[in-house]
Amino acid sequence: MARGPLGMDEILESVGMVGQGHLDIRTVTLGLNLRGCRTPEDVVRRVTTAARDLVPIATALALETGVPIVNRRVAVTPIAWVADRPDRTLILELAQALDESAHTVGVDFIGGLSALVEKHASRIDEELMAALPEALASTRRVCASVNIATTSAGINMDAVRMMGEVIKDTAERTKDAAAIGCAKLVIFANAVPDNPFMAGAFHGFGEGDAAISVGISGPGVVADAIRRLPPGAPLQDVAEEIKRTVFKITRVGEHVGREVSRRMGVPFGIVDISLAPTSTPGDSVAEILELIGLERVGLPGTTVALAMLNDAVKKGGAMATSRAGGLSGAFIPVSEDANMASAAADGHLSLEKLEAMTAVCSVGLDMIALPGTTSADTLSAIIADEAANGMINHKTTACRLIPVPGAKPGDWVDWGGLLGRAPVMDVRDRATVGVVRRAGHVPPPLRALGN
Amino acid sequence: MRIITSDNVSSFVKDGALQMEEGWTLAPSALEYLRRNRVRFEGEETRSAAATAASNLAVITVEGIDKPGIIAAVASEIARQHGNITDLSQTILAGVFVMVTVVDMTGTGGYEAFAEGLRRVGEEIGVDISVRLYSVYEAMHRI
Repeated sequence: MARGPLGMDEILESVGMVGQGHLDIRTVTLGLNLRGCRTPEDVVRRVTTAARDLVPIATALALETGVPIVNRRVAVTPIAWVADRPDRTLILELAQALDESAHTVGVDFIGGLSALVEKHASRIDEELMAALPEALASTRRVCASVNIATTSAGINMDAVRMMGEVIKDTAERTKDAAAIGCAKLVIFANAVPDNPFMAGAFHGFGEGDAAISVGISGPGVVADAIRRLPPGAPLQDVAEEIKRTVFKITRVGEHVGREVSRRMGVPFGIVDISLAPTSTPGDSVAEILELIGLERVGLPGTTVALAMLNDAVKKGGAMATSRAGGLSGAFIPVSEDANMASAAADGHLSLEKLEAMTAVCSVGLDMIALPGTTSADTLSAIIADEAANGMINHKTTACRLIPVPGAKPGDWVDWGGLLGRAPVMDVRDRATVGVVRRAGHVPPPLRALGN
Repeated sequence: MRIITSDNVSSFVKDGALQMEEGWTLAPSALEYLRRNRVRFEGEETRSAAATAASNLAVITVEGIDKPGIIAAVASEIARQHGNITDLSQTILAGVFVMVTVVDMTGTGGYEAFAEGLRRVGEEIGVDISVRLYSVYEAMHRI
């Protein structure tokens, strides 16, 4: 790193990263603590007051820095901790209050219709989970998440079984919009309290009254950097180049986040060092993997390329900020990544390979369209497999599975905007799955006993 | 507005800490001195002055087809708005005129008016002009 005033080459490099490289801030997320809010009116008052300046400040800063801020979001305390009684009507009203507040402050998504049930679900948690299909069908901006496993608690298979049914019901209730309700529902293992990315964002335990967190982006910038390497450069050089590039992306993210936090008068939370793709061409994580050396993503060699990419992203980011948090890794959503979706459509990328990929990167089986006939048991079994990955590897994993009513393998589903489009993937479906029907609890692994 | 710059900043440092006085504004050039001499920012007032100073430095990039008078037009607009050029370089890249200027905006009417004035000049003379905060580039290239 040079010192002294910036040179013209450095400034022009930055200009190029934003222009050709699609460098942007994927999200600036305001986390809000809702403790003390008892009624839906309290929630509306709290959110609309605290988040009032988020959109204007983020918009002004994007203009002044020249770095686009793609999304402005709000994440709140899990609603299962806000609701004071196991009352489904109250939970639905709280969901409506979140939706209305998000609309008022001009954010497209608000996260936190959530419950953490990795060990046991309370009666309030159960009511919240049961309310999800109706809540997701009757709101536009509300995102929900349920944490069903942690490394220290194991997997709550009763909750896993229930969530298979919840996903089916949500799909059915939103079938006129290609089951979009399921795109707003994440099932986690090892959920983190400070994730700024939707649909899984919530403002967890250990967080203060409010925090501004930032999710970086920039797969296009990383792809450009790899393209500039000499052809056939060895992998350690590729890893080094990724680290260098992510360092710069992260510095920009932290700078923008801290400036938003200063202008809003809200403490700075974390930078989530995740390469988050969009469906825009040239903004793809799969493309990076293909540049590293795959004919198509999903073919043999994909897991090692992804493992290296994910690790290099973290190393570059960790050098750049002392406030790394959230999910921090490479995202591999199918519908939100054009190269990922087309590899799935051409049969190169299977559900099983995706599962293997999630063992070496954040975050999970994300935005995957499945046939509408997929059984609730099969959905639960996929969730449990993914949770096992997270539990054993001591990392966050998530499932955003979308069984689209009426759709069969090979059909394309389009949710529009950032959610993108994806081919319906083939799944080895069974009407009943014994390991799901047993329900109960998968005990935590030995590594949970780390003290 | 009275401005603390690199020239007079030393008289505002007492016991290794910056002492802001009523009616004074801190310019980016003073920040460099304060950093180099490890001057402490104590209290909300000095910290906020430092943050404001940092966000008062802008990078102007100009790109377009080369023709006479581009630098003159840009520099006149900067001067008209009481901006102070602290660095300027210009080259021709692949046939395109490229100019990068660092400007202290402390004396101007603020980012919005300053950027708008330069954008208008760009339109008049047919080049792309963008005004961005220096701090974002610095974050990317300096630790």
